[in-house]
Amino acid sequence: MRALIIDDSSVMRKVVERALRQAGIELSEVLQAGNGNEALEILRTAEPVDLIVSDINMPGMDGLQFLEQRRVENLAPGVPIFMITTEASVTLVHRAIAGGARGYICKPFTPEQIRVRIVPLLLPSLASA
Amino acid sequence: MDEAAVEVFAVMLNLSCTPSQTIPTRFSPPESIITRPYLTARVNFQGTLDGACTVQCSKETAAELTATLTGRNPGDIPDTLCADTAGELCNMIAGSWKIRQHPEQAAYTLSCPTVKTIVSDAFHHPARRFRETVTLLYRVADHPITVNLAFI
Repeated sequence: MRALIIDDSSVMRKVVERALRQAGIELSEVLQAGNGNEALEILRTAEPVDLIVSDINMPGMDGLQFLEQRRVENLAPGVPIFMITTEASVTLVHRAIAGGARGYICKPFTPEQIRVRIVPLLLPSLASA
Repeated sequence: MDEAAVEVFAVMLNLSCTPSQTIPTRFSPPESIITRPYLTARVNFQGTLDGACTVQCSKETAAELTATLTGRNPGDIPDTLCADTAGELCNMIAGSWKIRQHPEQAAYTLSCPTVKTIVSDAFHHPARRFRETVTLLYRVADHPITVNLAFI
């Protein structure tokens, strides 16, 4: 499985990657982006990904703007997108879901939370892998 | 704030965090507690309350915490990652504190974290720019870390 992790913190990108692996998700490749713009460029040019995990609050293009632009350009259609953020307001969560995110987790988080929330989203992908 | 800080260190780092000790901000800057060079990470918040949350720790501490988070050797952690960790911890503590303060935080936003490395004797503390401040001292795995809340 190929994952795209979007966060302006390189430490958090590593933490998320570790958490995904600890949750039992086998990652063959992890692509990283520091904001929405970098993520869009990856989606435009790189091989398709199977999972996108994104922060919301980032400098440049934030996670919500990324969701919107991804939809406008029809990039990675059908790929599950999961938000991991400190911005847990109801409004932001609703905007993320409306923008195409399948779910979210608030920071701080545990690998167990990742397993419980993200793995079910990947079951079709895991079954066909 | 205690709950927020303890939660972040426990959940993200699996580290115990002793209950806070309030220190008088204006007369006990971090220089008296945390060895230089130290990192000061700051996240501004706007909404029902306006102000800033600041987290300060030594570079050694930041390297240890980064190693715990990433699985790397503390000696191999570059300064950029130390700053990254300090900023992200500040971000999470501010977010966790915000959620506890205001159930309807829709109009309440956090800035992206900024991080500075303090190497000189120059007094650098957000308390000087705000009206009300509180500084809490924690010990995380024996490392001193201060968390400052300042309100406009």
